[in-house]
Amino acid sequence: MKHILKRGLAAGFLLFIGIFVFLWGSNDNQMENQKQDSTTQSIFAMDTYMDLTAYGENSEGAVEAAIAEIHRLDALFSTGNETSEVYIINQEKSGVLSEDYAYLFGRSMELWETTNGIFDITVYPVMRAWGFVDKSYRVPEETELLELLDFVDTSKVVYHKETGRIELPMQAEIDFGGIAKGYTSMRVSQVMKEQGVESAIVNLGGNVQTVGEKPDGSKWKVAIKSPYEDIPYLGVLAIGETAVITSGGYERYFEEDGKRYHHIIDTRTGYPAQSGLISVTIVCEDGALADGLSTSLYVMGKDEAIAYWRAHHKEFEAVICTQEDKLYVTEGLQDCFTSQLEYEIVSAQ
Amino acid sequence: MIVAVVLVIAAISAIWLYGGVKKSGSQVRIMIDGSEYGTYSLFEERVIEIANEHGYNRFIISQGKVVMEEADCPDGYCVEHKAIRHVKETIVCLPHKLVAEICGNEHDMGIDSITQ
Repeated sequence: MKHILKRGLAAGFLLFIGIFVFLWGSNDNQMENQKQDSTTQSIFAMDTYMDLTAYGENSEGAVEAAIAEIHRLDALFSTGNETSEVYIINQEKSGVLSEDYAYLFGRSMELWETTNGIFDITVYPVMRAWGFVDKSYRVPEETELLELLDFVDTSKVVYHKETGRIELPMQAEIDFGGIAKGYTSMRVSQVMKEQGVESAIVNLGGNVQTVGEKPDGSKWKVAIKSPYEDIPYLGVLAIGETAVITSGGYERYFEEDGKRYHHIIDTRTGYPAQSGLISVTIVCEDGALADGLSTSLYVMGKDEAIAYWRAHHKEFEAVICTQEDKLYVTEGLQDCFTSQLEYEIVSAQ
Repeated sequence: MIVAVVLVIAAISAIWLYGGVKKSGSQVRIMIDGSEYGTYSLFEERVIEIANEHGYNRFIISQGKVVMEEADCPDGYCVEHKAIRHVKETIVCLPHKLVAEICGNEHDMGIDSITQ
């Protein structure tokens, strides 16, 4: 009897190990197969953290090419890089715009016009006065800001489209920081498609851009960050190929004498925007537009932002979170937005 | 008969134990300048101190969440950041090229990315 029991226990033990190892091993193989069909890499660029994932056969080549493009654009757009086109133009007050710059400038002009000057690439000297360029944070005197605001006016920039030549007034300086990351995510998407990738998702410092849909054909689930301790997300968007970009004062700021000063400057006042909003999220296929609109609508505040959206509702969608903890979601997102918070759908009429 | 019972119990235990181990998988992965520094369970209380040529950071893992308790970076955004616990949430210390990202159970809300 004892003998049989011992054998039984031994067999049971072996069976236990056998099943456990089999289950573990088969799952690992599955994970490896999945890994072969996708590549993920993260880098630091454009003064932020970036995460790229591509799916499919040439995912590795696509991610490599995308990263090379990010580094190219980082060097190209950096106002601090003394060999960059924008640095030279700011020094010499003139120059000829290369292809990427010409696109950005065109988009910036459109945004400047449609936002009545709220989006303005000539705001750079004001950003620098606050210390947001080199992190030498300070609160400028009002008189200083008023003087600098005199030169914040894109209409005074002369651009000859045929030759690409740009001319700035003596005291003006430009910076495409409000639109460059969104443009970069667009270029990343284009580069990945050129490499044959049909499914990818990238997060460039919080700006999300997708290529196609998920490998299984389902929609991507992109969550909007919540600044609240106890709530993980403001909501989740189920989307196909698009850009999703959020702007909020909580992203970059400094504190002085107990007061917080954030980086989204209201070009009408020279001060950080006090518009009553916590964040604005733009959903738009054009990443550059999404980028520029996210800060512009944040500066506008709820009512003006909604009015702006109604006038341009075929171009983008938005999720607006106010400081009264109210969420507004434009009606084009009705079927793809979910949230544990209450929210109001904004209609186009 | 007894042998059969023992075998059945062994099989069921293996399957149950395996399932248990996989489900409790939520972890935090810490990367420094693109290289993995370490991956830790969210369910074991832990203090992680990192001191290198970039600077000093201290993470606390407690009650299933991760928070940056202290850092000597110039801007301190990482210390101000709320505690993270959901897959894909990150705390980034940019000046120190340090990233803590929640990973693990793929079925945790199924989020693919989070805008910031």
